[in-house]
Formats: sequence, structure tokens, C-alpha cells
Amino acid sequence: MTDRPINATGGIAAASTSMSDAVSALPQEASVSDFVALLKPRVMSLVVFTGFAGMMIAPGSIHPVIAAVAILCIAIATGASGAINMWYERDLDAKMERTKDRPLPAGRMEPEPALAFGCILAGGSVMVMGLGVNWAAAALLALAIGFYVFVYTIWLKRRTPQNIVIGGAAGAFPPLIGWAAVTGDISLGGIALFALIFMWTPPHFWALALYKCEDYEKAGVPMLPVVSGVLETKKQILLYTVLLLPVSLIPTWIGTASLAWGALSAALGVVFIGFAVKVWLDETDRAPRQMFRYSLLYLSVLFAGLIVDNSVGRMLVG
Amino acid sequence: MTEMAKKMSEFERKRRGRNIALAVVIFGLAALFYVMSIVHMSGGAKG
Repeated sequence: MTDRPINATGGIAAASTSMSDAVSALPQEASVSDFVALLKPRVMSLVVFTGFAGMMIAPGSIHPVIAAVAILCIAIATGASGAINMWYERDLDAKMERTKDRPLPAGRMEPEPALAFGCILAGGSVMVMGLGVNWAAAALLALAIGFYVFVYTIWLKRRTPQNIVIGGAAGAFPPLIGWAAVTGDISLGGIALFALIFMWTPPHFWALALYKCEDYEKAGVPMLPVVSGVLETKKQILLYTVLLLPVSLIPTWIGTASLAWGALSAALGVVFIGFAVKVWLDETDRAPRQMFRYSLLYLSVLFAGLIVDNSVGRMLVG
Repeated sequence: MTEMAKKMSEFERKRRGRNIALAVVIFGLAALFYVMSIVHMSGGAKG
């Protein structure tokens, strides 16, 4: 009789311990929102928009369903690249204020599912683009993913302060892909849009790096302000914004955009240079923050302008 | 015990959410391939 309560208590304790073990042994279960966060939705929106603009201004026409498929593939591929990037950079992300709450460094997700998720989406988006749209666009999409993952994330980012300059090419692919989705090839108009984003990327990221310098330094990422100092970065920002101005006029010179768009582009470019000068003169974080915000507005307005310009042009012609 | 029950319930909630999302994606893909096939077969893929 005396044994029973002891056994019963022991049994409850044992059951409780094994339940506790079972709960603690549960795999880290990420929520849907964690998987969505892996796709970097905010980055995706601008990329999709530039891809859409490339598609809209390309000569020729495309069925709306096929156009939607192409946009979806660009969006998914961008997200896939982001997921693989987050998997590879989880150690850096954990050290930076800006990124420490991402699903992997915050411990809400195991690394392997993140990598698998990225790889499946990358492969799937290229395959659907090839089967549903055309293989030229699919090849460019695969190249963009490969460039972002292997050239930028794995090779350049931790090795050189020029990471953004060369790696920025990955973000310049979407309008070229959009263009190729319509035409099935790579032509001068698409390359002009590629060049525009390529030249825009360094001042955009260096403005961010100027006020997140300590974060990058802590993580050991050799961003330009960390390696060469604030003054050199400001000089490079000014240089690239000045070089961006003639590059942004190429679509007008080659007839892809109208003179009106060229005027808009020139005006926005001059304001961009103005912000770069302000960054040069300002000792505080205020000007780099303003310039970063303006750079996003600059690209959005330029590409929205391209779409409007092309639509008006087509209406007038046809 | 309450803590454990809460953890289990959270675990199950996340898993259920993921299963629903996966089902939506699979049905979405099936619909996408169906529509894409229709467009290609009707010769409309070139716009």
C-alpha cells in the first residue's frame, strides 16, 4: 500500500519529464511568416517593378497570362536568392542590429529548411520561366540567381569593398529578364536599363553603409566606409552619381524612351547629385539617410516614368 | 504542464499554418500550369 503513492508520484514525474523531453526535442518549427521573411519581400517589390518595366517597354507584345507568369518567376527567383543569402549569411546577420531578428539568427528556423526552400524556389522559378515564357528569359534568371548567390554572397561580400559594385549586377538583371520575356533575346534597350541599375546600386548601398557603418564593422563585412573610410566613400558616392547621369540618358539616346523621359531622368539625376554633394558636406547621418531614401524614389519614379512614357507613345502611334 | 501545453499548441499551430500554405501553393501551381497550357495551346503565348 505504501508503495503505490510513491510509484504514482514517480510515474507522474517520469511522465512529466518524458513529456518535457518530448517538447524540448520538437524540431524548430518555423511559421509561414518566417518563410515569407526569408524572401525579403521589401527588396522583391522594387525588383519586380523594374522587371515589369522592362517587359512593358520592350518592343512586341506578350499575352497577359504569360506576362504574369514572368513577373511571378522574377519575384520567386528574387525571394529564392534572398533565402539562400540568409542561409549563407546567418552568422553575419546575428552580429548586425539590422538583421539579427531575421528567422535564422533569431533561432526561429533551422538552417537546412531555409537552404532547401531557397533552392527549390530557385530551380522551380527557372523551370517555370523556361517552360511557360521562353528559355532566354529563363537563362538570364538562372544567371541572376547564380550571380547573386555565388559571385556576390559567397565570393565578394566578405572579401572586397567592391562587393556592391560588381555584385550589384545581380540586381540589375530584372529589366533585362522582363525585356527578354517579351522579345526572346537580349537587345540594347534591355542592356541600357541594366546599366542604369548597375550604376545606381553603389551610391544607393554606400549611403546605407555610411549610417550602418558600425554594424558592418561589427560583423566584419568589408564595406567601403569600413575599409577605406567615410571620406573615400563620400567621394565614390559623388563619382557614381555623376557617372549615373549620362548612363540614365542612354534609353533616350537609343530611342527606347522619349525626350520627355530624358528630361525627367536628367532632372532626377541632378537632384541625386545634389544629395551626393550634401552627403559630402554633411558630417552627420542625416544626409546619407536622406540620400538612401531618395535613391529608392529615384529608381521608382524613373521606371514608373518609363512605363507611362511607353504607354503614351504606343497610344499616340496606334 | 501549462507551459508544455502552450508549446505543443504553438508547434501544432505553426505546422497547421504551413500545411495550409503548402496546399494553397500546390493548388496555385496546378492552376497556373493549367492556364499556361491553355494559353500555349491556343497560340496566344506570343501575345
